[in-house]
Amino acid sequence: MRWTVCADRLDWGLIGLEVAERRKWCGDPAVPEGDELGFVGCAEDLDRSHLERRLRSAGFDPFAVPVVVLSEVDRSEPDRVRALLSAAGARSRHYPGSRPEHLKPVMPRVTSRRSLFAFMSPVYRSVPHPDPSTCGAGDGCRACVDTCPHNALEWSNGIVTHDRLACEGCGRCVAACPAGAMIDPRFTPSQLEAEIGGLLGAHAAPTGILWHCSRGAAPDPTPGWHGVAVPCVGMLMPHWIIGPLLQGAAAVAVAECNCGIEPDSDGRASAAVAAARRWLSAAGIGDAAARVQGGAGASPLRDGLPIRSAGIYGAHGAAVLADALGAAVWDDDLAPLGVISIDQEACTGCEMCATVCPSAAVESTGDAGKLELWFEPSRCTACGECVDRCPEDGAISLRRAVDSRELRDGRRRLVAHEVARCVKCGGSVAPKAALHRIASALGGDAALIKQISSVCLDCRGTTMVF
Amino acid sequence: MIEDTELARLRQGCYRVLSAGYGRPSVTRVEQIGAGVAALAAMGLDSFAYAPSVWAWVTALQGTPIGMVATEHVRLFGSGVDGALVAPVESQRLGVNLHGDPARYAARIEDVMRRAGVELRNDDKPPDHLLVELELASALCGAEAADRAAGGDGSRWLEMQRELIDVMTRWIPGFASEVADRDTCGALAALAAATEAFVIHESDMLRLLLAETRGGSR
Repeated sequence: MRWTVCADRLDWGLIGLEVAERRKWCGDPAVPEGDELGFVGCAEDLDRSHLERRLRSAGFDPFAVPVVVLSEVDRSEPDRVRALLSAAGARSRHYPGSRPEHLKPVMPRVTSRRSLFAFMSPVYRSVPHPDPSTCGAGDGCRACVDTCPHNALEWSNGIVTHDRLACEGCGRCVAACPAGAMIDPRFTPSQLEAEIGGLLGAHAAPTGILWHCSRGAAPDPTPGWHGVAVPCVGMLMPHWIIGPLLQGAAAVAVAECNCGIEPDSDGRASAAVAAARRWLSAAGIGDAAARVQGGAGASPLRDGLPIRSAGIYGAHGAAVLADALGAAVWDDDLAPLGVISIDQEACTGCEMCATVCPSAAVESTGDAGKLELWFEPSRCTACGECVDRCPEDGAISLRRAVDSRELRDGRRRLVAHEVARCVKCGGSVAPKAALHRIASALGGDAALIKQISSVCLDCRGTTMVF
Repeated sequence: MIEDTELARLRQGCYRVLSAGYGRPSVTRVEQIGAGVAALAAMGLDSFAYAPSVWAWVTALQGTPIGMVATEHVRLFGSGVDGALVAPVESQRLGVNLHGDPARYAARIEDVMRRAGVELRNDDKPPDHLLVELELASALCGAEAADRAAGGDGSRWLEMQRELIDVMTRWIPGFASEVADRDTCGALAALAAATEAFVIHESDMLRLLLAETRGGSR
C-alpha cells in the first residue's frame, strides 16, 4: 500500500512508516498515479467529497481506497496511527467491489443562499443488496424483508426488490440473512475480520475492540481500545460481539448508538451484549463481564483468551464460534443457532421446510419409495422460515439454542415418510401422509381420491383408475 | 456544486453519449464519444458514482481495434451470428411471446414521444430499442434544462423521464449481464455496464429531483 499523507498536523518521522508526505494535502487532495493507494487526512481539514471526485477521475472506486482520517487524539499516539493504517490496508485488500445497486445517493443539507439555485453534488452511502446467486427469495425466504425497520425491502414473485432511497443502511438485513446473500460492500465479514486482525496485530499489549455505529460520530478514543464501525450497533448479534475475543482482543464493548435513526438500536445492542455474556458463561468462561464490557475502559484489560478462530462474522459464524468455545448448551431467545424437530404424526412430507430453508439446514432426500427430511445443525441460523411456511400446524418446531451435543452429532434424520407408488409406471406419487391429508380435505369423493393417490403426475392425464 | 440547469445538461449528455455507443461503431464515432465524455467531465461527471464505469467504457472502446468492436456489435446487437444475440430492445426482454405484445412496449415509448413532441426520424430501429430510448431520455433532459433555464422547475419533463427509467431499470441489468457473458472484445460489455450504472443511478436521482420539486424543500 502506497500511503499519501497530509503532513500539516503530524510529524510522520515519529511514526516510522514509509509514506509520501504532502503539505496542504487535505485542502487539495491530489491522487497520484498507480495502484494500491491509501490516504491519510486530518479530521479537521479533509474535503472527502472532493477527494472522491478525484478518485473517480483517476478511475478508482472510492469505497475501495482506504482513507484514514486522524483526529487530534489519534495523532498523539504513533502506535495508534500504525494500527489504523494497518487495519485500513487490510480492510481494503478484502473489499469485494460494489455494484450500482449498492450506491445510495444522498443530498447534503443545503445551507448557502447560492445553493438555492444550484444542485449539491450527492455523496454516496453503501447500502446492502441481495446477491441473486445465493439469495433464497426464489424459494420463499423473506428473512431480510421481515427484519427491515424501514420497509425498504419487498418480496414479490420470488424476487427481493430494494428501495435504496428508503434504505437507511442499518445492516439488520445483513445480519438476518441466513444465506449470507445480503451484502453491504463496505462491511463484509472478511473486511471486518481483516480490519480487527490489523488493529490487534499492531499492538503487543492487551487491546480492546469497541463496536460502534458508522452513521454517527465515532466515539472518542480510549487508551488501549480501538473502534470498529458496523452499519449500526443494532445489527450486532452475540457471535459478532464475541468474535474479536477469538482474534486476540482482550475485551469487547459496544458503544451507544448516536445516530438515532432506529430508536430501538441501543435496546437491541444491549440485549445482544447480555446474550454474548450468557453464551460465554454457558461455555465456562468465568469472567464474561470483563470480556464483554459495558463500555470501553469499564474494567482493566487482561490477557486475551487462549482460543483462536476465524470466519465468525459470516453466515455460519455462530456455528464456528460454538465449535471454538467447546462444550456448551445454551438455550436463549437470542441464540443465533437453532435445533429443528418435526412431529412425525403432523408432518405430511410436503417438503416446504426443505424448499424454503435458505441455509440448506433442512434437506429432503427421496429413494426407494421413501422420503426423508434431514437436519444439519451447524447450518441452522434459527431464521424460522421453515416454521413460518409449514402448512401443517405444529408439525415443525424450532428451539433457539447453541447445543454442542447437536453440533457434535451432526446431520441427523428428522422424519421418514413412505411414498405411494403409481399403479401404472411405478413412480412416486406423493408421501402417503400427504395423500391422507388430501383425502381428509376432499371429504367423501372416493373416485377423485383414488385417482389422485393411485397415479403419478406424469400418468394422471392418460390413466383413469376405477 | 452544479447549477440545476447544468445538471440537466450533464444528464442529457450522458444519455446521448451512451446512446452513441449503441450505434454502428466507426473511428469517427469513437472520437466523438471520447470528446463527448471529456466535455461531460468538464461539466462535473466525476461528482457522480457512475463516472468510473463511463471512463472504463471509453478506455475499453479506445483500446480495442474498431474492426473488432464492429464485428462484435453485429454479433451481439445485429444478426446474432453463432447464437450470441442480446437484443437491446425492451419488448424482447420484457415482453411475452404473444401476438401484439412487442407492439405494446413500442406504443408506450411512442406515447411518451408524442407527449414530449418529438418524433423518430430514423425508422431502422424500433421505438423500444435502447438507442432510441436513450436518445428520447436525452431529449427530455434537454427540455428539462430549457424549462429550468426559463425559470420553470422541469417537473413535467422529470415525470416523463421517470416513466422511461422505471421500465429501463427492469430490463437493463439483465441485458448488461448477458452482454458481459457474450461480448468477446470487452468494449460492449463495458458499454452495457456503464449504461446499467447510469440508469440505476438515474432512477434514484430522478426520485430525488422529483421529491425536491414536489416538496419544495429548496
